[in-house]
Amino acid sequence: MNLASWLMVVAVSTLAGLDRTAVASIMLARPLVCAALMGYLLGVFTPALQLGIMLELLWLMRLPVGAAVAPDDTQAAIGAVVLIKLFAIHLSEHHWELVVLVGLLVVVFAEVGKCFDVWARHVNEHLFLRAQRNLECGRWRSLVANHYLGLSVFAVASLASCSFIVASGSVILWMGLDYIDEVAFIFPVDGRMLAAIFPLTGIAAILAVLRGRHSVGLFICGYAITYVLLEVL
Amino acid sequence: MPESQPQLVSKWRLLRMALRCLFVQSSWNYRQFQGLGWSVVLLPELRVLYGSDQIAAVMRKYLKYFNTNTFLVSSVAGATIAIEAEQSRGREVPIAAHQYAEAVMAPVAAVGDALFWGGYRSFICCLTVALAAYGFWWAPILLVVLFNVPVGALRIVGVWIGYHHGAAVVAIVQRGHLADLALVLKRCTIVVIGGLCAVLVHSVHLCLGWAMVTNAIVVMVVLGAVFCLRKGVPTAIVLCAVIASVTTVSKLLM
Repeated sequence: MNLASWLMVVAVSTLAGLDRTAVASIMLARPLVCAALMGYLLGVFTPALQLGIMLELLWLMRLPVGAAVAPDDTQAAIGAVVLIKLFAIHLSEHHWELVVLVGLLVVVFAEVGKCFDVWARHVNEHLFLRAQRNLECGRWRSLVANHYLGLSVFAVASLASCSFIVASGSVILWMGLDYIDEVAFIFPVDGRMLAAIFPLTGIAAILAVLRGRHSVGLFICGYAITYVLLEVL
Repeated sequence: MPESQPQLVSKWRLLRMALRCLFVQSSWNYRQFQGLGWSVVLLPELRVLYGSDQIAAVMRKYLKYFNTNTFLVSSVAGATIAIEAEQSRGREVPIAAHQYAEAVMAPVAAVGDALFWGGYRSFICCLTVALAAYGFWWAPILLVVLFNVPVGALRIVGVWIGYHHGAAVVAIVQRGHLADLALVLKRCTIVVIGGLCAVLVHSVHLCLGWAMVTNAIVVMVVLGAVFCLRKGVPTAIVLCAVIASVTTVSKLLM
């Protein structure tokens, strides 16, 4: 990857991270969107879209409201696409194996990635206290400066999370890809089926949260109708 | 605020306030949540109403704990400024503006979070993932457009509705039956994820006999994973367990 590619990674990681935590919430932070965007910019759109589909539903119902901090699926998706680009040489021979392996790695790293988000929120407490002290002294203009300084804190946290995922993932893949044939032997299932397990687990995670009357009935109805339609069409 | 009275805050200023609402979470912290962001949203309008000499005293009332839904915050801001405008004219108001904001933030957050985060976002994401899994590469663009057209409109219009109706904006939210809408969206989401499941199974292209077996296995695996997740098992562990079990079954069959 050249310097321009890394600059694009930094830009997308920062913008998506801010959309997730600090600005607007226009859904740029959703794994399906940011992975596809990153993949398009890095020239690996197809595996990036596959990773977006795999990661999109896993933590969808971990709502970013109040003090709740969900695993960092945004940086996980961006980091996964960067890892695919870094190890793209293996894509032609081991496409699905690499995609599934990267998917599994970032699912674990996403849990660590949320620590950076929590750190940023603690740093922002100091900004609030500083703004409060200044207001007591009558310096009300510092409210604005301290508030928008929070953006840079969240941006740093996003970049740190992405860097951690890419660095850790690179080390593991660099050591592990020599054994990918053995891994493929241990996991003899069709790679497409293994990749489908990610959204299926995401579906289970959604159903586990959406506890309503007739949930199972509605789910099976949706399943049966769509399957029959796909067969007929 | 009655239409016949001249506006103290112009439409242009209200639009700018709506845009500032996009940044309400920029300094989110564990001490006062959106408190600092909420103060900055209101600051320029309060300065117009009270002038630079009184603004520090007014802002002290607002620089405290605040947390509400990010998509409905513009409505609350509009209503708060409307009450402040009345107060600045020396008129009696049923509730002080900062007390009004404190009173409505929790109910608005409850309704907004259930509708936008729990209902609409989930529905749109599941729908677009199903489309992407079926092979439509433009599904991510559709996700952004479908989410932002109604939500963006509400963010802009919300500030006008809040400003013109003042404290009555809560009644408007209640009349909208947003909580019922959230429930309907959640049910639609369940139907859509059923459809997504079918798309994923259908994409493997199996013969009829194997397809029937796979369908039954997939439904059982999903319901088994639901059981584990409801027992508090982390998602990553459930994911690894499902992959391991599918691999084991495949090895046994081979």
